[in-house]
Amino acid sequence: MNNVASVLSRLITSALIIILVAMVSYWVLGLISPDETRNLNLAQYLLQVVSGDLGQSQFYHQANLQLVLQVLPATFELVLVTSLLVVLVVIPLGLFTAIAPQHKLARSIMAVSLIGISLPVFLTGSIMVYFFAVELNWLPTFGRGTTVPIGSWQSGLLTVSGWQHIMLPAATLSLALLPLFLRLLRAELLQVMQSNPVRLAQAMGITPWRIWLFYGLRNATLPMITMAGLQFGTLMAYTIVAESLFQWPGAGSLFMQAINRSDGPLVSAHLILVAIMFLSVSAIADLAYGLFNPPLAAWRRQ
Amino acid sequence: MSLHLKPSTRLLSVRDLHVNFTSRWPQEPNIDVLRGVSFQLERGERLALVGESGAGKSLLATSIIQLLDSSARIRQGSVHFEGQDLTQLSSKQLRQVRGRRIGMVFQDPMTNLNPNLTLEQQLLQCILSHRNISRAEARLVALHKLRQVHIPAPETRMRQYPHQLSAGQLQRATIAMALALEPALIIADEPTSALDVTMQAEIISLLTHLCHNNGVALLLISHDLSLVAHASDRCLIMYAGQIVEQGHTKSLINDAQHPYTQSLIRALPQMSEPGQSLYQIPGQMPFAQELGNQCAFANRCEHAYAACWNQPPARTVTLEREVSCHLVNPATAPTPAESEP
Amino acid sequence: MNAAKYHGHHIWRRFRRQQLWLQLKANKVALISSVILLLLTVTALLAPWLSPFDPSVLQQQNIMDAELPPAWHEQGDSRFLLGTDGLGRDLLSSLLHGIRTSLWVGFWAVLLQLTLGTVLGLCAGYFGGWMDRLVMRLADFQLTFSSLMLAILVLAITRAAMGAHDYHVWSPWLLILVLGLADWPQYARTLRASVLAEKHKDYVAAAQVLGYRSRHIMVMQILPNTLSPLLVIATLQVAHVILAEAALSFLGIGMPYGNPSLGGMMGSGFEYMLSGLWWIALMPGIALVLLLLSINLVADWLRDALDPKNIGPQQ
Ligand SMILES: Nc1ncnc2c1ncn2[C@@H]1O[C@H](COP(=O)(O)OP(=O)(O)OP(=O)(O)O)[C@@H](O)[C@H]1O
Ligand code: SF4
Ligand SMILES: [Mg+2]
Repeated sequence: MNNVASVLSRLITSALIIILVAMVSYWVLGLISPDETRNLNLAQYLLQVVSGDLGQSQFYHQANLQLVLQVLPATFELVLVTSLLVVLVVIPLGLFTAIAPQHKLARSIMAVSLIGISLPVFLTGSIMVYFFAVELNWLPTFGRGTTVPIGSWQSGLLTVSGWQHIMLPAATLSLALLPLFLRLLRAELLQVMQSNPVRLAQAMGITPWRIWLFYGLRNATLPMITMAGLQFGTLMAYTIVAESLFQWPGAGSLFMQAINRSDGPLVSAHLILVAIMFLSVSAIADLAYGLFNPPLAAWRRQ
Repeated sequence: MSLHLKPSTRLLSVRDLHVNFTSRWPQEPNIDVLRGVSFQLERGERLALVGESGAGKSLLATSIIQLLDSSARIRQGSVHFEGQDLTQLSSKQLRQVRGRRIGMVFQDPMTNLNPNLTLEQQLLQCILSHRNISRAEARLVALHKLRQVHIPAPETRMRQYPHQLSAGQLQRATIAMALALEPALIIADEPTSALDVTMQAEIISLLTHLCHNNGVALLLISHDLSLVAHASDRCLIMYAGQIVEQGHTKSLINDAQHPYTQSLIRALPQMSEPGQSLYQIPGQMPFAQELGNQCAFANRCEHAYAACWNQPPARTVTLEREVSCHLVNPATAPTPAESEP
Repeated sequence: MNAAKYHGHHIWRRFRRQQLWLQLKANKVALISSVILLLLTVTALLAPWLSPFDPSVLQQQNIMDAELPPAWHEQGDSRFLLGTDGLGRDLLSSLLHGIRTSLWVGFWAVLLQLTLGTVLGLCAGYFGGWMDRLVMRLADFQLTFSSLMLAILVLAITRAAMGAHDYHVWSPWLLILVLGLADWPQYARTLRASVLAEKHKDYVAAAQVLGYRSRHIMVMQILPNTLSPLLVIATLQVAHVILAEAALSFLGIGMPYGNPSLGGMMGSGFEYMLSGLWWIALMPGIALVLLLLSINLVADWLRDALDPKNIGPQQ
């Protein structure tokens, strides 16, 4: 019962937030393209939004929703590869720097990560472009290469050229997120290793790798998920920057184009979609949090 | 029984153990918190360690299994267990002893179990760390042990997380874990002080019975003399980092010789008349760094006299008792004039 | 009045007791980074007098001097120490003015954040109830949504609404306003926590019984407790704001084109990088990293140095 109620209350809040955002986006529409709102009052606009019609782009003369859905796979794949890269790098590095904090390599990794926090995403992007594309001529610098349709999804992850194209933007984005997550994981691991359960595990002679894995890493999962949820806004902002840097044909580029062309309907459609995305991610983060947190999950189930 | 047994039955022998903490202030010396602890434990024996908070009981327990804080150091002394000196072992060798030969039960089961793993997962981690068996076999061992500690419906309980069980059940589970590898010794550090009173006697009797039935020796740590009175063969009384008296539990309670032991007994609830308020030992246990060349109990001792403030008492060993008090030592016992208040 | 005076004194004592200067001398990294930060700040403040050219004077653009590499390069020109950009402007001059812009935006935006955060945090803690819930809810939202994302949306929309030309008249002020209003939650949380800690202490009740204005005393008591954490947060936030300003200028929705900023310089230099002229984008990038790193390191050190746990002799 409790479960149903909490889902319901969440849905209602989300709907309210979306309506609120839709009002803002109507106002924005009027600001950017006043003629668009001349024959459309707020109520009509809201009704359209609720029925899933986000209007038509002034520049492309195409439905906004369709335009965004066309470019969304590009953004989604970029974010996916970025997250995979971050996870694949952060876990071994975090474990290593926590297991051997005094090791020379661990110390230099932490020093580099401190510098990394101060590295803006567009600078790492520029440097990578200069080395890997201009100097070495290994990787392409713009677009996403050959894509293959899977249903209505244009995927770049099935072709060699797609992977070549995604390398630089994904590496750039993950470098921007890495230092933060690395420092968090290391701090969490070091703290968990001082905790009572680990002391009992050590007293019972449990093998160190089991302690690191099932006590250290497992207990650091929750703070990492929380952090990931908190960083979603930053990730979105960085994705916009990286997409414009690499001319990645994703939602971020489309948004910047709409801004540069003063395409009111497209901009306001973006606002609503950002709100929806944001709400879904926070729902997913909560779900994941519950999944990895037995006490909370059980409390929910009751 | 202990003192009459042959040396071959000796399981644990702690000799002159000194442990100190590294001071945060470099100009201050590191002061010993355990100050020359010596005792023996025979196979299958149930030994109690009693003392008030801060006496160093937990520190002694963790020094035995060499699981000290990074700031603590064994300065001197040895811990012989089954023929090897644990202070000399590598961390790899120690892991063969911890859990496998010495099981550990800590105070608060709610905070000592991993909240993110089911009981089964935690028991399996422990068993699989020591024995080269399949998960299915390990699960059978775990189930068997959970039955031994009388956890109802162990098959379902096993798949639950710590927060889904009561404190008493959790403590049973940690006892099951401590017993899982058939150790020779279990160290239980205040295993019941986080539980409510009705649970305490039950857990203690479970622990002592299991140890007795499996021939496991038990080092039972508590600040409550009445709790261990029936649960131990011998008893160590600890005060300010030293063992001040040790002997058979029964005779120790009937005929306490050290003034600290005497006041502990006076403070037992059974000892006070109905309606009378409980006796409390006046004053506070001194910090290790406040102790000079004196008896550590002198500031609270009713019998203290000149010698007590001038030199620490030596250990007086009689047939079955060891006491560290000037009063008991014939060489330093007060002259009749001194003993007059 | 007396309370205020006493606590004013108290604040000083606390600060002095921490012996910041001695601690700074003992920490090499912090010392070097604060020296670098000081140098950068001074050169930025003196940029109009120090820089060899004035980047805002159009006459000085000379297409003949365009795309010159740094002076130590064989094709370099000794007049342009760090080379020139695509329009023939001296990079060093633009760079100095860019640092000045960054620090200027950072300073004012953080001042705004500090004020807003302090007020909201004090209100949330003092009034409690729905006020507290509302402020904390907003803070959570703001933290998750990130100030950079909010700034991108607001500034981008304003630009689309105003058109590029009008927008750039206002953009420096808008930038400060948005970045200043977007990042208050950390200050508010710190203040709220210390108000709550203080609220239930005896002297507040006593002051109320005696008819004094407990609010006044409370504020005077709370400020010294929060001064250190607020200082650390504010220092870190300066770096954060500078980073955000650079990202926004890079995207073309921050500082106007004529007004040199590090992010804008990198944005326009990126095309040149693709044809191998690395210095146009990289020089401002290096300056930006130097600035951010030195601020972050100083903030890191401040956090440790002001931590009450670390007062007294160290191991
Ligand atoms: N990290 C530490 N640094 C310095 N001294 C410490 C530290 N940990 C413990 N001590 C000291 O060691 C002494 C023994 O502590 P211990 O925890 O062993 O006492 P205890 O007898 O188990 O008490 P309790 O009944 O409260 O558990 C205490 O006097 C304490 O002051
Ligand atoms: S030595 Fe003296 S002070 Fe210490 S316990 Fe014996 S009588 Fe008391
Ligand atoms: Mg203890």
